[in-house]
Amino acid sequence: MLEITGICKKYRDREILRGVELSMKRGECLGIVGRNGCGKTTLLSILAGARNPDGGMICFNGKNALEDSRLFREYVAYVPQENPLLWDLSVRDNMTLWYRGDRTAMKKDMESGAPAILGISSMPDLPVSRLSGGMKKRLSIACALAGHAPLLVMDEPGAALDMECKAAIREYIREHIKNGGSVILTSHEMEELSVCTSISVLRGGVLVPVDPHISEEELVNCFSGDEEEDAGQQ
Amino acid sequence: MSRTYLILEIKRALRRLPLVLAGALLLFILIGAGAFLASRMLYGEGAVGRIRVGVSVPEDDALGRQVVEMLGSIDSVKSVCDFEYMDLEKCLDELGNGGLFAALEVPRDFVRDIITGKNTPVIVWLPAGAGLEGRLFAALADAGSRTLGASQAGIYAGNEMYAAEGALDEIPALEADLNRYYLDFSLDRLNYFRHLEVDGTGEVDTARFYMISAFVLFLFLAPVPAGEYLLSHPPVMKNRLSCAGIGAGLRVSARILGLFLVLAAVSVLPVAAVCAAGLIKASAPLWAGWLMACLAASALVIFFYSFSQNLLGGLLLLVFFTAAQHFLAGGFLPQVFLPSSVRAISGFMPSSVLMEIMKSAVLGQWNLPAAARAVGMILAVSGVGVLLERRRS
Repeated sequence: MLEITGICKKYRDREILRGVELSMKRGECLGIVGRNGCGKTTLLSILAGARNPDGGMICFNGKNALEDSRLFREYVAYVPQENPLLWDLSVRDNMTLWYRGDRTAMKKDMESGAPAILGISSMPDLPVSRLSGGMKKRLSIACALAGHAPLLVMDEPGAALDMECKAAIREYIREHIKNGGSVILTSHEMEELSVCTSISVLRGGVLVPVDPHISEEELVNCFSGDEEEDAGQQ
Repeated sequence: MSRTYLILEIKRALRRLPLVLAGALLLFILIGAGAFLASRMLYGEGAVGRIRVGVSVPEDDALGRQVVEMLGSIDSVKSVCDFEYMDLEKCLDELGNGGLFAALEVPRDFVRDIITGKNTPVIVWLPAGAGLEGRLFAALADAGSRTLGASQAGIYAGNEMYAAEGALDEIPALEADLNRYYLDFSLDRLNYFRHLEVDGTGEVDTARFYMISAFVLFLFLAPVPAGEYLLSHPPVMKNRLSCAGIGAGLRVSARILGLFLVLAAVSVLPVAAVCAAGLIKASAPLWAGWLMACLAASALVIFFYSFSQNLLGGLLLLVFFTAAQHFLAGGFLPQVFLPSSVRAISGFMPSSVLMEIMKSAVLGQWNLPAAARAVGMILAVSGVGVLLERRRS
């Protein structure tokens, strides 16, 4: 479903991504790990079409999305670290903004779709400003999924959330994969990575696949040497 | 999706309506009081107050005192001036300490000299840097002396004519009649105090001028309580919207449209009330001008908040810029009172553009050049706003 080849990105003189390669099928969940500032968010925002790469190709089912940006909208549901929500409007209004489909379909989805699974359909009229951090994140995911895109791209979905909320999000990710969707997420937590079918370390601007059952200690060891590389780049 | 976004932005804006209405009420009271005071201070009798004039007449000159009393009793003089008799020294003291706005020094044998044709002048003393009252009195005295000169010429001409006809006995009656006629028909105070032409007001009168000025100021400041709506979305939201095909242009336009509807909703009541009270006539140009002014104000306010990127910055920029440019546009003081260098840039101020539109609207006239300037202003500030939004996304 997704093929990425040679994605590069530079910020001034610093090369963040140096030819990232990636291939994903439906029903897969890829966890991307790496040190702070290694380019995870940059890579995800490029995947979501929010940033343009300096070079490379991103293909969804063989079609290059860098030549037709509508493909990003069709294939990618992006959940950034911060919640892109209209804080002064209600849960329902936010869902309406991103929902692709008619009102009946949305009503049905609110009752039994992603919003219901994520536990936000019980409070459709509540203003976003009155939601807890966890509920905002859940709503953010529901809004991203309102476009019915098969690939869910999440940037540190569990950051600053309580354990119950993290569990609910993990549960949803499992459900999404089971239903044929794909997920790419970045995280610093092993528990969150436990839902992944594959894990890659973003190191030196490229993705290095590692064993998905890798221990935390081994994973940390994979990062070593990054600091010297970064220092060398700067 | 663009349609949904537009509807939701309008919904967000209209949610601020109660807050903006409450702020508007307060603003109306403040601006209304300010405009009323400014208007009274410049033109109103009450605010200008009575012009206290000291009159120094030689003690034994009964005739001179009689003439001054006669002048002081003329309706047009009596309605603005209070003549107080005192010696010259006291007159000058009071003039120095601000107790008097002017002093009249009537020379000895003033009346006799008029009769003999010697014409000894009455000296008018004004304080250095005379205020509005002093200047008004100077204008009044100047006008009075010209009128007296004309009447004197008329009286002498009558004397000559009667003397030539041999009707010397009739001369006193003729002089009395002519004096009465001249005094009755001269010194119409309204000519000097009411019909002051003011560039800023153009064809509208003072009350309407300040009504328009206050309304324009209100349009700029009324959105302050809706500050959070006026700001751009956070970067993450902008990014997400851009990815969904909702670009900077649509985002800025939607906010302008939302604020425009709020301003229109808030300002329609006072406009309708003024129409209902008969102060201005409801007409198509009025409603068109009102909508145009609301739209232009919305575009400018959104630009300020987009530029500043935060609530406090937006508020300060809006308030200070609005106050400064409104002054430069001749909104607080009509342009005639402003220095010529300021007057040269007045026309470029947003308040000036909006006041021009509203002036025509109040007069029920279509003003295409003013409308074109307003459209130009809307396009310019919106365009820069979009560029800023795009650059910062």
